[in-house]
Amino acid sequence: MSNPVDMHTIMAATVHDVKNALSLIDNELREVIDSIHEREPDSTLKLNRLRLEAGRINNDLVHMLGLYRMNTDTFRPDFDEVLIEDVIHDATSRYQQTLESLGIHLGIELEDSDIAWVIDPVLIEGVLANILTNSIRYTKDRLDFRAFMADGGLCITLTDNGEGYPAKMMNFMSETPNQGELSFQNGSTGLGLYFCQQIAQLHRQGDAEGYIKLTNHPEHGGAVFTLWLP
Amino acid sequence: MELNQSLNKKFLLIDDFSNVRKSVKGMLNSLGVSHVSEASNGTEATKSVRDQTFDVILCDYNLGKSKNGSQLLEEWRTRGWLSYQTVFVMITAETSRDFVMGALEFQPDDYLAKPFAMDTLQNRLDRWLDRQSALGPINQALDRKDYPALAKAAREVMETKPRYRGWAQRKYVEALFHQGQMTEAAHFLQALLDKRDLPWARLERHRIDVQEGKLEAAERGLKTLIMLQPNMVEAYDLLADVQMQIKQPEKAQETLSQALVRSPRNIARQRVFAGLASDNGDHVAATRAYKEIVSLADGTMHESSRGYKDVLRSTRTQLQSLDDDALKRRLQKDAQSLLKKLIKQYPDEPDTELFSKAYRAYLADAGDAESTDRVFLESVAEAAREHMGDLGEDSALDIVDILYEKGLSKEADALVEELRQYHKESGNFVKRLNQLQAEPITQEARRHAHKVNTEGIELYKHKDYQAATKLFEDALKFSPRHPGIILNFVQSSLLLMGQTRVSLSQLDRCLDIVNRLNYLPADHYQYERYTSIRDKVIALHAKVKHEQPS
Repeated sequence: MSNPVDMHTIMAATVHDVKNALSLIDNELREVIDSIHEREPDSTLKLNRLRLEAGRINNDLVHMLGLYRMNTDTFRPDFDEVLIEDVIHDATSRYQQTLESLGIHLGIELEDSDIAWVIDPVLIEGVLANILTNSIRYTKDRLDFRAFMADGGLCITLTDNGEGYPAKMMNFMSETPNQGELSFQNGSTGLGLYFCQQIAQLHRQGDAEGYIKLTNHPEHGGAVFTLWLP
Repeated sequence: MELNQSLNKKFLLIDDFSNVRKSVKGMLNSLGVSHVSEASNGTEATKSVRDQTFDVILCDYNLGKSKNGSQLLEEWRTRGWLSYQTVFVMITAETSRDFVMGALEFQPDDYLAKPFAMDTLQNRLDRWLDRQSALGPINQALDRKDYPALAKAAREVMETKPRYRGWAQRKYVEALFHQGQMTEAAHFLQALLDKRDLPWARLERHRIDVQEGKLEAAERGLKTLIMLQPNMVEAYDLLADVQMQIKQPEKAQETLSQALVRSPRNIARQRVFAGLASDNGDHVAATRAYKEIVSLADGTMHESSRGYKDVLRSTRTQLQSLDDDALKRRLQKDAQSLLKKLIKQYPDEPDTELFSKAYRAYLADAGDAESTDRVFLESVAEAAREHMGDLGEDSALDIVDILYEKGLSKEADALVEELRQYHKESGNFVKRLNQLQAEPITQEARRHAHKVNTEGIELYKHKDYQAATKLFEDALKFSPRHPGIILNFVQSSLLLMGQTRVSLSQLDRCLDIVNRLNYLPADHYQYERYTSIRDKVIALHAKVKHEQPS
């Protein structure tokens, strides 16, 4: 496959096809859940986990295609000034039902609900959805999105109350990541974070460049994902 | 969702699947919306939109065989059937979202990816209704096209509703543009840009640059903007406009072709591109674009006889510079079937009637015995002279050209004479008529050129470059722009100079003649040969000039 355009078409078509199938699966699962959730809470929980996994496959596909496009220089961001509240809601609303059934409380807190920022809304929604679906697996029973202004930029954090990030992962992010150093030990997590980092870096204003950061909460030790955009 | 907010709101749901409508309607009902009208296709939807005013329209992009959602939105907006106070939401399959989004000329107020969950719908519903009430005065002013009121309402929103500030800023600039207040608009945009980089504001500022004649600044700025924001197709449109103004039509064509890769479904852009390609002599690209327009316009408000005529005209021009018989036959067949459709679909247009008769004679379909008779074309010439008032300029030129081409020079000259009189006020048209009369390439001339060229090739094969060059030169007199003949002439001249001596004046002539092929598109089958020969001539020319300083 020496022709990059051909490879791109094949990948895009495959991703398109699999995403369609996933969306069908997700829809059917939702209908089954609706019809059995009162009678069979245990099965409902299992089905909700399945929905979550379907969502993760979906995210992985998006990453794969996105990274491929970045490498072949055909990745085209679209910047626009949008309401951050809308972006966070769009990233989270489809997981509302799953979160409830798993007994996880999702909090969304904006310093100012009118914050509008120049971003690529589709890409940032993808980053937030990606982090959310990951955090659902590791948190105990809380997830909190916060958006506020910091260092002249916009800061969005997602905090959970689980065990926190392992030291290895936080180190991975502290170096300048490039693909060669990528560790796939955590399944797709490394790839997902790498993708998020690339998306953040596409956001520039003057000399400043967006970034992501992984830390643990100083008090309860839960994982804190930070996205900063200039 | 505050129930009382949505209770009295009127919704229209457009989807071609009744079970989808049922399920979405159920969701809306449980969110407290009781007025939900339904439509299963474009015709029903249009009737509803014209009969009543809705607060929210949920429209599926794909409506089966009917017009799609974006074609409906375009038609309603253009014809003023849809109030700006109505929130128009396009529903798309999640995976086709990239394809549908962004590139549309008429943007919906929001997109919704399907399938969507109740939580998502509720969330969006709040958003739409909040927005509708917050932006009411702006949308009312837009409906009335009252631009001073729009400016005032937009200012008010900017000052009091930070949530919608960005949106109001755009409407404010729009209002200033409509009132011709360019200086204010420029100041306002600059103040925004001083604070932070906003792609839309940059584009609008360059629009002002273009109006003020600052073409170089606009060109530079737009190129940067496109690099940073490659999906912003309006930036390509404006850049192409600048490039046309600074007389770089080839670059303008290239710019638009890039915009078309990103947004191929825009008819207006396709049309500008096709016109440019045609002017640039790139008839392959022009014909392709005109065909695309016909297929995009099919079933929409853009459908017209003009689209068919453009394709036929472009095909005819393409046929003139073609000597691949198989390709020619294919193009002719395509043209014949388009012509049949044109005649069938537009039976009552006088211009179309004359136009299609001339093209019937031109295409000379063996199955259409009447049209191949010379008497038929003579009658077309006469009818054209009798109905000059019904005849559009382009069709008139077509008929004249076809008459010349078919060897009816006397009839053509007579028609030109009368057209010149009739249109004497229109300088541009008279100029085109004169050009046509000055350089008519008849089919006979083309046949003659072909014959002489073939003889030249025989001599060339026998390495008699002197005689071959002479014959190619003769052939060029009959068909001065023919790629094959031009390249034969130049190639033979170069070999002749190799045998005898190199002359700067003969090289000059070769260079002039080969440059006639500047119009050749890169996918033309002679293109590689052309560039290789051209480069040889240029290199040799430079070398000889260097050796013989004047």
